[in-house]
Amino acid sequence: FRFKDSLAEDLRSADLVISHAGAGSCLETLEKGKPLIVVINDKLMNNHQLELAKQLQRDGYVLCCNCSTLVETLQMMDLSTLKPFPPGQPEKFALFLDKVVGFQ
Amino acid sequence: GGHTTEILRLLSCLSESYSPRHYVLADSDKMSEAKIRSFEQKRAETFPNSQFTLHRIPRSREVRQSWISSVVTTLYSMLYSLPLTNQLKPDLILCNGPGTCVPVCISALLLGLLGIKRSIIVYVESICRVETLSLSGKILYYFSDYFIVQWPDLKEKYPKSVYLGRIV
Repeated sequence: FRFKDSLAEDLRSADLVISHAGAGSCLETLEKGKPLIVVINDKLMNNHQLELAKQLQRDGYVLCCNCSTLVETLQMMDLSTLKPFPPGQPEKFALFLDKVVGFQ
Repeated sequence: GGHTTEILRLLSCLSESYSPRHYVLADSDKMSEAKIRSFEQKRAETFPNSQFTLHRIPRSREVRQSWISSVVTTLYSMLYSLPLTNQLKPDLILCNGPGTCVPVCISALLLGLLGIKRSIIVYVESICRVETLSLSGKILYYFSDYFIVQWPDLKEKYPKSVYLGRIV
């Protein structure tokens, strides 16, 4: 398919996700607890997308590769090395904002 | 899309006191309205007296638009954002990076300088920004009251920023 309103269904039933480095795609997949391989397209991607993908790899949440190394990555991957992705904490933001604004 | 999702997550734990909420969107934004309404509908289940409104101003910059033309389009957006900000006189402005926030924040700064209304400006940089700031971030780092980043590298590079970890 070319475009769907939400990938939530597909993500739920997947065992492995291979995605481009878009932040939404990466984070949505990680939040659903699915193993993720991020394919980086050096030619198309702007640097800022690369930052997040690299950081997620550094922290052990995803595997990165590029188009030419994808097959090799799939053959050699050990998904058990991937760490579970902890959810963000908007409650910390709420606490901070309450202090800033003076609601305590 | 990404900015809206993030800002709604930021709002998700805020208490009832943060009301009424005024959402400012770019006129060409087709997707955010539905997400916002859905969020507010859900919120009304817990806080039935919740109030919110949507406002639209011209988009101040297209992705990768040149610097010079961006100044012109941002000034054009300010023709809308200035009267809007003056009308709303917000106590708090929360923004997270889309070009739309720049004219709104500059308007608030102007109103502050003119002694009309002093708004607290809180900027939260996107989770996607790990090593470098967005253009809005680079501008508002100097003009916001609180500038929040979500990765430690940025806290090092921008010492006046606040680091709370990942908050979306």
